[in-house]
Amino acid sequence: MEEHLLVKMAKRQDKKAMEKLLQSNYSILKGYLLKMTLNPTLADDLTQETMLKAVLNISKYEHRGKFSTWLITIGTNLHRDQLRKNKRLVYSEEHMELVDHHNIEEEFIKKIEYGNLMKVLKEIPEEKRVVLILKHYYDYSYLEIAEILDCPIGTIRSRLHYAIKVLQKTMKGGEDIE
Amino acid sequence: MNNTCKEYEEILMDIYYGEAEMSIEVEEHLKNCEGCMQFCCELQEMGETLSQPQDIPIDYGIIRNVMETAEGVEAKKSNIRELALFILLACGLLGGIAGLVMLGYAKPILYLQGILHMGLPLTLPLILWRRKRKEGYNV
Repeated sequence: MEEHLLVKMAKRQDKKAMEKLLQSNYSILKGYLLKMTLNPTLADDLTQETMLKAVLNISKYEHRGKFSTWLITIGTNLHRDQLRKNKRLVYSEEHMELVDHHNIEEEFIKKIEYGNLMKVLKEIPEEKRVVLILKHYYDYSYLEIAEILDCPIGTIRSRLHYAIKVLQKTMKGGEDIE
Repeated sequence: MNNTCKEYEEILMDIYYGEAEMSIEVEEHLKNCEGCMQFCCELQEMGETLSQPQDIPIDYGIIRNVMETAEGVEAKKSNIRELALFILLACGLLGGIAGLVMLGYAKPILYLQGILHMGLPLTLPLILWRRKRKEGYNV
């Protein structure tokens, strides 16, 4: 069923429609929060809080852009609120979860690659990392990112440029990254 | 690296991410500037490094949890709204009665109360009888 129909039904308190919306956007939201926080436990908590907030405030959703964009905006704001409360965010390599694959070698390689990716992203300051994630992984335009993060397009552009410079420096100097 | 190259880096980044198109000016600059050409290649490499697939399975348990929690929150909100409405109506009713008493209508109000308290239960058999007729029972 098309997203805008599901949203209409969800606004009329149709629980099944709301569940379908959450299911279809779960991977996008969790993937984003995972890359942003670099902490799977925190990402899980934020995913749950974000979805809860979305369910409770579905009547306020204005149909501007995709539903996933709205979820990402909520998630970003929740994460920002947590940072303001000075919660310690710890990057934990042991708790990374992967999809079950039959091929153990492939799984091992994916774990290494995923670990390296997280290490690379960790080098970038949080506010710049968010821009890079939204641009590179979700292909949002500068304008859309500016709306999500509530800052000027020029700032978005310079943060992205900074993130890329840090990444390139890390990739040149980092031995783990291949 | 001079300022012009810094500007070109930002333009190349815009082009890489589809925010701008490659112009002849940029192409010419790339032909003549090793630094910017290197930056361009590094952008490609960076893109490949970052774009590693990550499968995230849907956790139906979390979504169920969220829906149940949301239901609980909505139920609480509804209870609070109903309680607030009840308090408002009760205060209004009591306020109205108090007003009537102060205006000297205490006796009529007491008589009315007496009639309601004693009279209404007497109508109960009639109500039950009519209900039974409606539902088709033999009386």
